[in-house]
Amino acid sequence: MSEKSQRIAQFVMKISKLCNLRCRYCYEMNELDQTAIMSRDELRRIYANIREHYVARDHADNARTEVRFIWHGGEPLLVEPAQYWQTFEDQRDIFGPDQPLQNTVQTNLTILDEERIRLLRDGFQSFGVSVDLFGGLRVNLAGRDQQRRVLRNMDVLRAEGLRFGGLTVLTKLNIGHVREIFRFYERAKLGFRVLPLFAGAFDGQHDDYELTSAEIVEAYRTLIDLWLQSNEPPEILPLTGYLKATAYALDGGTAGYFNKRDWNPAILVNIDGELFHTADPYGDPTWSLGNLIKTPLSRIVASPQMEKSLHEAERRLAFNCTRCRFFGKACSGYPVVEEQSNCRELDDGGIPVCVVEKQTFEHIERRLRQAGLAAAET
Amino acid sequence: MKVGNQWLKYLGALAASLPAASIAAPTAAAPAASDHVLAVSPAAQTKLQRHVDAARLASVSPNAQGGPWMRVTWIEEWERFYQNSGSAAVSPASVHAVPSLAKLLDDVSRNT
Repeated sequence: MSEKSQRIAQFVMKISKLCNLRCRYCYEMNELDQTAIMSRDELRRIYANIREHYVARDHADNARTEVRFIWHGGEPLLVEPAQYWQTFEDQRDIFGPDQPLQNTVQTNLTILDEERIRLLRDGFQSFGVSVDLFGGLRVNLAGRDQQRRVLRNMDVLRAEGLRFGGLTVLTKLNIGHVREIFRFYERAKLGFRVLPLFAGAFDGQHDDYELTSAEIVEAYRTLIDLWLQSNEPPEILPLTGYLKATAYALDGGTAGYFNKRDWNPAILVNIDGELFHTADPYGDPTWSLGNLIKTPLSRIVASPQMEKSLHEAERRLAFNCTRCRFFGKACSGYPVVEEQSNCRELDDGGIPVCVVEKQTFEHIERRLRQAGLAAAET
Repeated sequence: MKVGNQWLKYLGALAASLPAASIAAPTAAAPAASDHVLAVSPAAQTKLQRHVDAARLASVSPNAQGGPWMRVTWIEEWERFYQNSGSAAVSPASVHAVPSLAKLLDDVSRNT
């Protein structure tokens, strides 16, 4: 974050759905052969519609917002590097020289050439590499596992001194290997994110890979225990965030409350400009917040569609968090508002129930107390 | 706009209008963690303590007084960790001390 900025607004940009892989669990599976790309003109309109909102908001709050674009696909590096360089110039043109901006990209890293190395080094501020390490689900159109190629390309980037993190999707096929996954990232000195499998593109897609909440909790507990014992503990999202927040809470600090009405830090922009919150049904037009190519963000923020999404998030918060002893202390409610993967069970009224995070916080608290890093429970 | 205590009261009222959680225990329950006390490494202790110290400092900084979004910003910083962490300890020199990642994966698969 820029020194002068006080808050972040992130836009996950689905620049193209085209992909050279067919990862078995991909939630974009039905669109991966589509060659359309967000056009330069569409992107410029999106930037203009974003800018006017934050200029007004920063003026009203006497604050400074850093705007981040996280480029997703499909495979975003199939887009020609020249188009990214062009859009970076357009961003500076539209947002002006003083607006803090960042661009990051999430890539399968199967395609790497000199131009793309330069783009990753000099164009994007950071990037993440999707690699599951076990399970063989990240395959090409011919059904062949592409992991060796990805690991080779990661070697190339490490030798170039580039910084990046890993993103490992947890499925039935690799969750039994969380110890090996941890050791791999620990020894490679790479931070990583674990992302339990979430809703797919069609019914039955995940039948062979789906996880239960109990399996996720067990994997999280294992990773937390390994992290606590490690001499070189890597960053593991979201778990190191939970560990740090719990340590702070046990020291008397507070995580505060995640109130998306007050500040909305993350919105997904689909290829057609339709906006979604990550916890809402992605691609379902009845949950679209509005279209950012056609509509200023300030108007979308004040729209009935936004109110519907916020109200649904608040129902989840009210149902789960107001009765939870971690709310406002170790947990701000963020997982319940933003994540799909922690609330797999529904209550009788159809509201997602927070299972994974609650049991994870309980485990962390117990471990920190056992280790004498916090006062024993009285 | 509902903010601050007013927003919490609103959440409380919303909660009161919702049914109590009723979820089948078998799907929700994970096996209890072991009572074995872990030997927490000095490195992990240091990381946690550094965070606690930084969080304490930030809570009294001018930025923290500047708006409730500061705490959200923290969450976002964790969430987008590879902005700042990633392979922070990796330099071209240290890369050569580690075998290729494919070999590393083979090694950890055999030895873990």
